[in-house]
Amino acid sequence: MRFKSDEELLGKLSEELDHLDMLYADVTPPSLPELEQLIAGEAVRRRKRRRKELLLFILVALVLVTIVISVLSTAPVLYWSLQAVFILSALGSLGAARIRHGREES
Amino acid sequence: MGDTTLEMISQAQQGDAAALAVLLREHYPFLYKYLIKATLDPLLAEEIAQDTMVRCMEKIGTYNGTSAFSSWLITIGSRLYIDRKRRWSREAQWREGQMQEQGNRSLRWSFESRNMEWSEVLDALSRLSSAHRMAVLLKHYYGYSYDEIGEMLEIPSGTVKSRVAAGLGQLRKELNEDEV
Repeated sequence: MRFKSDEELLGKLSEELDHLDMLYADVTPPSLPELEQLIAGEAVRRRKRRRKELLLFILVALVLVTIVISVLSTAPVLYWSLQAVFILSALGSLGAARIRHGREES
Repeated sequence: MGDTTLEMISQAQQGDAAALAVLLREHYPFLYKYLIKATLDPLLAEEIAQDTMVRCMEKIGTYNGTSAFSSWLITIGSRLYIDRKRRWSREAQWREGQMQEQGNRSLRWSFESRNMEWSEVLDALSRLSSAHRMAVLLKHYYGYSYDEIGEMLEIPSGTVKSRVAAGLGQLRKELNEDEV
């Protein structure tokens, strides 16, 4: 099968894809009750998932707050040192990124 | 898009399950037929069509009407198919090949059981990578622009253009080789 032009190839391709469509012309979609049941089931599943995510978020937040409070109360020097280290390293990496960006542009 | 469809979309977005069910049922054949052509595997097409409907139920609130509802559905379907292919290629390359081969055989059998000929063109199309096949299909069968396909598949329109050209090139090459 040799095609002289893209148009000819695309014409044949469309024709064959139409045949493929015809083969599945009688495809039966799910019935309305089935779909409504699926929608209701999905809504319940989503609600459960949201509740689970919220619960997980609250648990992680509680753990983090507990850690922060206990470190602050038992070793305040360590706590403030860590705060300073985090802020300085964030500022340092921001500065380094800016310098790199400036070099690349020039 | 007709007024009735718009009305139904609006009702579905407000939480009307019956309207959403009607909407999905109406568009199912279009979606399924697109997926058959994109995957060339009836079973996989059915699975992805179901996943697409579930995703649509979740995301109906985000549909903004800038494209036809059917285009929105095939966008979701295409992305789910791409995700699945990525997962497969991570799991095992051979499994992907086996599944594709099974799908092709099943399609071929459907053609033959109805005394229809499984053409060389479809055979060559089945040998294209899914990315190339989808690009050719969306551009030349469904008539979307490069920009629209880029948005649908979340890739730059230049990439779509090169995929379409490469896909057509490979089709032409394979079909010409078959003749020799």
